[in-house]
Amino acid sequence: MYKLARIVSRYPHVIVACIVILTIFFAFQFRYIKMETDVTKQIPPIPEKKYLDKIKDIFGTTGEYVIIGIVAPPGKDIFNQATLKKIRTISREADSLTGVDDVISPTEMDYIKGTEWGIEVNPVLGDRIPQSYQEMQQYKKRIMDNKIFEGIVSKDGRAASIMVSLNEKADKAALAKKIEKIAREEEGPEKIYIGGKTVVDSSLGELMMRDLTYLIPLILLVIVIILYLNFRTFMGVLLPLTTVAISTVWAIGGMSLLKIPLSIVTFILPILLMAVGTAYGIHILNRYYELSDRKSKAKMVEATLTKVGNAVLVAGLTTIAGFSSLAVSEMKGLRTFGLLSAFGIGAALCFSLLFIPSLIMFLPARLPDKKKKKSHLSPDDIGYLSSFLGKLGEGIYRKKIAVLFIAGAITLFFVAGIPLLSTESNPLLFFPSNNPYRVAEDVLNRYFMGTTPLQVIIKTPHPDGIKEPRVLKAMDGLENYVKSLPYVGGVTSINNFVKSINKALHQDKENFYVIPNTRQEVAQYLLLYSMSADPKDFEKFVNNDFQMANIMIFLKSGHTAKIKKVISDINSYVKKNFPSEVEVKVTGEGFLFPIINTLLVNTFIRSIILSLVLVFVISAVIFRSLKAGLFSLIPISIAILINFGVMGWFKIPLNIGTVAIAAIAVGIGIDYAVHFVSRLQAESANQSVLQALVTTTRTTGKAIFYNAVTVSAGFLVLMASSIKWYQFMGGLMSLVMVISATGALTILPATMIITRSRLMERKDSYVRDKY
Amino acid sequence: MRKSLKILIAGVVVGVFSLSFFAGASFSLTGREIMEKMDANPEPEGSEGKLVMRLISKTGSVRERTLQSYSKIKNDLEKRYVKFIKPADVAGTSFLTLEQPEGSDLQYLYLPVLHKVMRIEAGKKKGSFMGSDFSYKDMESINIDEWKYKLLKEEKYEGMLCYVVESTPATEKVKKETGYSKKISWIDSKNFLVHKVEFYDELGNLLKILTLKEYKLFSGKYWIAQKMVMKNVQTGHTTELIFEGMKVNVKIPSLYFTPRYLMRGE
Repeated sequence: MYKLARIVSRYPHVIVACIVILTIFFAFQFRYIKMETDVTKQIPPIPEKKYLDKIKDIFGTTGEYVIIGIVAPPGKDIFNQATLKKIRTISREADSLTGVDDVISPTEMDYIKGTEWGIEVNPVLGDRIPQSYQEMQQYKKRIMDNKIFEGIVSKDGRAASIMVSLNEKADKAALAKKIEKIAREEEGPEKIYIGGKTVVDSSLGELMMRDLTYLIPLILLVIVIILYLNFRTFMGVLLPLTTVAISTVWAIGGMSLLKIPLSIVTFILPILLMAVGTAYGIHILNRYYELSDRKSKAKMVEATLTKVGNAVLVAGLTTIAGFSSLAVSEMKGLRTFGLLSAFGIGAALCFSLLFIPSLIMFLPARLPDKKKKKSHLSPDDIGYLSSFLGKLGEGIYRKKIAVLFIAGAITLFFVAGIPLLSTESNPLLFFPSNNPYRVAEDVLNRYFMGTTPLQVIIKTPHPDGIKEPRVLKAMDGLENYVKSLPYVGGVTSINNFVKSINKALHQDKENFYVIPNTRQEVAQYLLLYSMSADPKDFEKFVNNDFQMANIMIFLKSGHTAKIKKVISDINSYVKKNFPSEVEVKVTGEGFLFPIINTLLVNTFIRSIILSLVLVFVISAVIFRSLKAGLFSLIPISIAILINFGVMGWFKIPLNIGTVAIAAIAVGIGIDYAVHFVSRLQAESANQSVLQALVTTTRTTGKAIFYNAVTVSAGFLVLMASSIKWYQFMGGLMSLVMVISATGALTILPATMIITRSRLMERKDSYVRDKY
Repeated sequence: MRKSLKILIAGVVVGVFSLSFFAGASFSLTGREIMEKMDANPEPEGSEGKLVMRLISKTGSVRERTLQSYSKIKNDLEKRYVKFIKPADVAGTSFLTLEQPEGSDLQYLYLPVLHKVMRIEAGKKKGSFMGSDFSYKDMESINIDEWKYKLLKEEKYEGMLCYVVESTPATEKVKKETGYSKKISWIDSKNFLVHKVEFYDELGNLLKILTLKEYKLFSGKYWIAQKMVMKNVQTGHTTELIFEGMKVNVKIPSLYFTPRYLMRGE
């Protein structure tokens, strides 16, 4: 540290210039920043994901639609000229957009009808919207009597949906916006609702951007307030603030330089870097102010860095280790988030150690003398807080068993909540419940088929195998079973065509709405249809050699647990009822949510273990003692247990955001324990254990308190986000910080005293002179 | 019936082009003039033959369908009779198309499983023709006015000097209906026969490549490609259409082109 200190005091201009130039460089990268809100994009190329991509290629769909719901005012239905005209306008305008593959709508769909000549496949509504009452009633009957319109027009006739499928290669977010605009123009008196995954993702992106525009100023304000309360000088506010701002610019700039999109995870990066990075600057400046009686500025800077540099370095390294542990996640977003945060923290660390001292050197005037406004961290300071903390230390010494008992009881209470922990990866559920898109999803799920798609893929051993009646009948059985499951809103497959044609060819008799008995019948009916209508109608449901079929299932709930239940029900039905040579696989966009959940749990376990191991190694090395390393883990382990207990009790699900809390918290929270142990160790050298403890809680304890408050306040800003999971993350991170700080001040010393740790007698340590 | 490039429904590809008036002369022609010349090639008054359709998957597995077809053109209107021979599950199915001077064609289909002739409404079809890489739209007549043309360059293609002409849809409607944003055709400067066409999808990516091979001269004036290969570059799937034993201008009894005859085809 001394060497570094010398360099800083000699070449401040060079350092400042380098940092400024690099910052400008990184700031220029901002314009390349992209948004990526599709949570399924976070899935690595595991077999299930590759399979879904293959299915997407074969059938050209994943059941992902932009869904527009038109709901007539109370007491009315959609069967009137004005409403039908609106439905038609939206349908046709959407269909005319480049990148729109297909539009399913009650005004534009075809239906199969038997005639004396055979079958006719006609538009259900001609070019002319019915004028007379009689015509309108006929149209209504066609819609309401026909099974293929189930889930497209609601049973009471009050609501109609338009389902627009988009080309996989098109800019789906932009198309969704255009479609929304078309639909919105037709609003009133009918209500218009828009949903589907594409819409959710693109509006999530907008919501995130809007959030950032006020969350960043808000966190800057919070930091300014904290810094001002701490230093009460202009420079004291400016220097650490600049440091975090620059490191955030670097991290975000680096992100767009590496073409990493701003995702639902990396979104919190700026907030997080500012909240965490501020602490380093505070440490450095505090020490500088403490030393402000030294003669020359250079001497003061050198002394500051020598004294406090190591401590800040260690704090930074453990935080970096915590973030880096996210690199073991299989999910790209979490991985890049971990590494980028580590980079950002590394930058903030460097700036605190180089940039702040350099600036101090660089600035012409001396920093305002702070002798009279004593730093909160100086050991002889007798503030309310210090005296409270001193008493706390004494109390802990006397009631150490009680402290551990209470802490144990509280921890146990929360640990009991951990089994209740659930996982949820559907981004829709992170919208506030009054958000228009959330409302729209609820409405669409209530009236229509449902917005969460699943697919069951049937593969036969040979081409044309799907035309075998026993395969179709097995599929039909599965479809009927699936329809009976809760939350299933609609099921469609090639069978809808086969059965409708069979019925149409037999005087529209309902008992012919079944699969025919011979392959010849199936093959010839399908040929008849493909010549009478558009064979493109089949492309979604069978592949071109009829070896594979696709059953589309729509669920009325996007809850991962409910999706999982439907999948396992399907799998056990298939096992019992399908011919053994037929391969049946469940996939689809909805299928990805349970997969994400599994990945989340993996990440959760791996990152906690790795982060604990890493910080254990770091602290064991610092203290040159395995036992000390273990002691330092106590407060943070308790904090993590309580965090997940809280999530369990309060039904806050584990998701791509909250999963990262543990790793981050370990990295940051460990510092409190490290500071505390090293100070206690140092103080124990020449006084009684009680005295040493009281001194430690009064001095370092106070520093820990301020640090925890700073970081918590930063994270609390996230609670102002309009997106639920960021609110959860902010609240939980703050909670974890407070608990690990409290734990470091109470449980840690109590444990050390009870176990009569020899640590307290050790005299050598790397970080003895921290505070 | 329109004078048009005919790639006819049911796969009877009458890619019929005559010896050109300008044997090999290369005047400076516009893209549109080149397409008009191609379109002006004479067509025979009927043909008969076997058509084999080979559907080749990305991995190389092959499925075959075989059709027997007869056609007759009178007063510019075509009558066509097609019978399925393979695969077994549709064998015996037969199909009749009668072009009408006004309105849509009359189409009849005989299904052996129902022992019944059915009339079919020729609707708007965008999809694939019998699971092949040809869409129904590819098979239909092309109205020369629905596209805009641009001569891109002249280049050697398989030893022939070819015009390379780009066609773009004249209206958004045409683009939406065909699903193509662009087509690029290689047309030789000697006989004005099409040898290769690239199809670009709505988003402007290359979708399919059609090559026309084994042009054979019938009756000294009709050039007909005996093999057409359509490769979908996006899926890796390929369809080959191969004519076997094609004859032109043969006398085919009028009886063949009646709905009643369809039932006898079994």
